[in-house]
Amino acid sequence: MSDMQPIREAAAAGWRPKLPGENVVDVMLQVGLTVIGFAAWEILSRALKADFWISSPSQVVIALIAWAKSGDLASDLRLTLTEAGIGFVIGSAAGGLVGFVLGWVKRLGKLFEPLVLSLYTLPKIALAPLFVLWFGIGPVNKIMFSGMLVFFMVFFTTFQGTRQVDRDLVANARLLGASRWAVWTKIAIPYASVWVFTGIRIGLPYALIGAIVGEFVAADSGVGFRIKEATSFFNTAAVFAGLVVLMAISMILLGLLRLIERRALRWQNDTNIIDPEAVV
Amino acid sequence: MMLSRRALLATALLPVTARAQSAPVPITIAVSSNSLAYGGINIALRGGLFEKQGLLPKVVTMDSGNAAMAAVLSGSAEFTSAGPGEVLAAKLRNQNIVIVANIYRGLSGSLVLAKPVAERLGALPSVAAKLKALDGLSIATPSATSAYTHPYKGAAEAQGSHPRFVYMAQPAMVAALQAGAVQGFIAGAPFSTTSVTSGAGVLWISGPKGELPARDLPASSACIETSEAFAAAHPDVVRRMQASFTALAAFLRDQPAEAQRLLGLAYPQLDAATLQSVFGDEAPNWARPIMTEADVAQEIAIQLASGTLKGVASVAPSSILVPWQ
Repeated sequence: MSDMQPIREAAAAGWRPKLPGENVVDVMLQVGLTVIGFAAWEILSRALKADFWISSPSQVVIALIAWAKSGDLASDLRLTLTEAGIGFVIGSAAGGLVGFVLGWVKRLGKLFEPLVLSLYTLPKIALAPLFVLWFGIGPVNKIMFSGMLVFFMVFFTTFQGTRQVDRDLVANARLLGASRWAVWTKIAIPYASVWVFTGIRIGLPYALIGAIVGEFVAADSGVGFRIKEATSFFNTAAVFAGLVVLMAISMILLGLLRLIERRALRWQNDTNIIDPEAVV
Repeated sequence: MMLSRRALLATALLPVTARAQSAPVPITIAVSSNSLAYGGINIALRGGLFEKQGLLPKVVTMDSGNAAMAAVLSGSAEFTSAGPGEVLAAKLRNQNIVIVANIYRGLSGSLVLAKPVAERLGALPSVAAKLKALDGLSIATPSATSAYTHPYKGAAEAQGSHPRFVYMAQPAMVAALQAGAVQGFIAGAPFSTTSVTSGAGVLWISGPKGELPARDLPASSACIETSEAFAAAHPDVVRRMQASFTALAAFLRDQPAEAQRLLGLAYPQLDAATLQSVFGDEAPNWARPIMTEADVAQEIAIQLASGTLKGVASVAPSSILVPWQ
């Protein structure tokens, strides 16, 4: 097989190498679209005198500065990120572990899948007031709510991923003398990890949603609390300021997660071809 | 010939016009909760007092006064019922909401503390001491601009006390107090009475009994409001709304037993003794629907004292009132 063979196969599948400078162009286009979007928002708000309804970027910036100057922004962010972060870790760990076990042990999976599925179909927002009863109004309430939302995201993807592990490969490995531990660490976990990361990536915004919903229901600080408070005063700009902060956090965290994912899954190359040398 | 044609047309249209006038006008009223501040409106609904004025009301209960106000701002409800604080907050955002009628005179929200907290604080000799003792306690209240929040906030701050306010819907407060999630709450009956009668809470300061200092007592805990544009376009509907509350005042005065029975239907969770006591305390507050400029000025003064709404001093009382017709 020639050196070009994998590239030819990838090209046939629709992949092509990026041209020099293409990334820069993409970024410039993205920045341009964002600037146009903000400008349109500002113009529309001013032209229609609709600042009460949709605010405007300039007012949002003013609200953000006021929030930062009051000293509440840092403490609110710290609290919300702590709640979402701990909830995310708990939910991801629990979802990953339970998903892996139920996906690997088929009998257990068959037994518990309907139960988990029925719990998943519950409108979880409706549980938020109950979480106040169970865990109070402090951070534990929001952590648990975030954890619950993330759990389901990670559980289902891990469960599905573990179920798709090539059982023939496992059987062959066992025949060749691989220990149970080796099968898990060399085959099952690497196979499932792609799915786990997908679940984690989907689950990350849910961790923030959980914290914010918890703060909406009952809180005395946090980004969600500030948004709700701003709503009380019909302060649309401050509401948008809260949303912008949440969006920025989400983007930063997703970026970080992507870096971690790239590092953890470095045995996969860009064309999704497993690089055997990179598998630890 | 022309004249007779006109006369013919007028004769033909007369029954239609008469029918249109007699057909009740459907209206939606978004209310901020189902507390007893709305007891009067519930009696009026069950007593058919709106229908007698040619209105066909549909009441939608929302999560808070802001949510109820948003329903009118968005045009999905013709009337809302929230505290004057929400009207002032909207006014400061250039949203012209006007008060049509006062449906609860005075302060309907009481401050209830969790029993262990009240026992720890002990029997205090005065309301001032009770307010001072609230410092640092987590107290649930419906929202930052609720009619319940700013009188207590202002009164507590005047005593150098700074409770931590937690915002939640009134129905959730009872359970939150019982679970120890909050140390106290400000709510109207039946939520306040439920906690006290169950033994989970202690009535710390009564709103309806006017225990707060006079400076902090609001003129209203709940008003009927509409948008200025709706009031200008439909003065007859607004007049009928005001007339409904005048009729309610007369009904409460002339048929108290029937009014109490209707209240019992609206709040089936109240036992007979509580119902009688609550009706006795609250009915006079539902029977004074006229909101005056002096009342609005008092609301503005309370807002200024609590420091909740910046710039509220600039609001002219007459600008948020529909004259009583």
